Amino acid sequence: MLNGDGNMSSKVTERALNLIKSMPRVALNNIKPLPHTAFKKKTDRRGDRKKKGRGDKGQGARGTWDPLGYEGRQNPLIDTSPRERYYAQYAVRRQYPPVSLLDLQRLIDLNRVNTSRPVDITSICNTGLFKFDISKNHFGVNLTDEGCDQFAAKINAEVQWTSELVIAAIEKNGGTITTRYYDPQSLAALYDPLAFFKKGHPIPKCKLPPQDALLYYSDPNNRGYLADPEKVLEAREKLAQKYGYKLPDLEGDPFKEMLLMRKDPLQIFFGLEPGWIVNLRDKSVLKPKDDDYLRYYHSAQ
Amino acid sequence: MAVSLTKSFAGLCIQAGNAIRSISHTQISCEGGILQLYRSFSALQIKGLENGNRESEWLSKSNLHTSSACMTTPELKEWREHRIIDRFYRLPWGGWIRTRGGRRKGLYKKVPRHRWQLQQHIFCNYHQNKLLDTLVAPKWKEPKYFADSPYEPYFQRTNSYWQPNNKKFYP
Repeated sequence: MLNGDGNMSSKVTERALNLIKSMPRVALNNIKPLPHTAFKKKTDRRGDRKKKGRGDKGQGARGTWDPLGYEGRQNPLIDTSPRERYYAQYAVRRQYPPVSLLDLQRLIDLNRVNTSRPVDITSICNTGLFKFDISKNHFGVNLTDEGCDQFAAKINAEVQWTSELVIAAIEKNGGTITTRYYDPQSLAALYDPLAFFKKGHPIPKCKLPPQDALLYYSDPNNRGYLADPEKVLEAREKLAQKYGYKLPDLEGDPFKEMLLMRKDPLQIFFGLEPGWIVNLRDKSVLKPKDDDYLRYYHSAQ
Repeated sequence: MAVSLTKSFAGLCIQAGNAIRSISHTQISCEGGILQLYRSFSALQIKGLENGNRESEWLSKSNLHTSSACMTTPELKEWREHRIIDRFYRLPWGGWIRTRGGRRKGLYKKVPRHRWQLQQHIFCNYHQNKLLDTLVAPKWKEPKYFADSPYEPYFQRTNSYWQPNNKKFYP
């Protein structure tokens, strides 16, 4: 009997211990103040008073304040200052949220961005530190020149907007840069590729830039993706002369293949063509072969 | 008394459909039109008439006669002062800029120095900044990143303790 009892008690203690182990631990997120500490004696009896703390008579007591912007019969500022269309065509204008070279250098140093692959908008979004929204007309990233002296990485960058100084800072280190336009539908896929592939839609083809952006993206000085590659090489040398640095040789570079990787103007992901469907469940890529389908996805119109 | 009340309620029903919906504990659908609302209100009144005192209680508790400041219109559109967006520009740090009045009037009788002065865009003062912030929707307070904006040099403050220019560099 004793042994039996001992077994029983050990079982009970075991079960109790297991129960305690499975229960949530006491932590900051599940502790509460004791009930008697939560009660607070009412000391502020302002609400019971006659005039509710609004003083005696006047606009404050009666709640008849002047409308906002009213300046006591004087013509208000809103009316006297002349019209200036600061926000003209706000709904149409493209916005490029900035990411500085200093930020990019920091991402590279912390291994948040892989420099053995081309650095594009997706790799910046995948860090989770920058947010873009197509509903706010964010058309990609503007790489700004802050920290251009500290920047010391050899990368193949693909951004949506840059300045001349940034191009010089990247090419001085032996890297390459292109400016690339994406339409909002493609950007939605690029900002969050996982969410896009989960939908099971075919990869969209990228549209050509609108008329007012066409000049920028076909300019070799901006390293536009629609510019002539030979003229881009010329512009590289001219820029090196202007800023007075020696252009590192691309031909003898061991990473030449990676540095010269470019997407097709219709393509939005490296290694994936427009019209393909990525199946995440079966880990396969569906490549339709219908002629009409191919004609649509391989033509610019 | 009751008849006059029902009449006044029917009048209110046309204007304040939203307010009435919030009063009644059961959801009254507005699709049935004014007639249905009127019926529901007459039913409410009959309940109130059973006790003479409760009618006055109900009236005192109702929020029919109060008005509150709303962020939206009855059609759930955000209030927006169009005049401000047409005339002022908000910098990301909370300052507003504007143009000067009279910059196109009677220029022939103004000296060149004055004419030049009128073309300048100037900052609003502290109180005007606060006022303008209250009069626009939150959408306009978000920073805007238009490419090649002429106001970009003014996006950052210099020599300001509260808006430090250089970000802290954490590892």
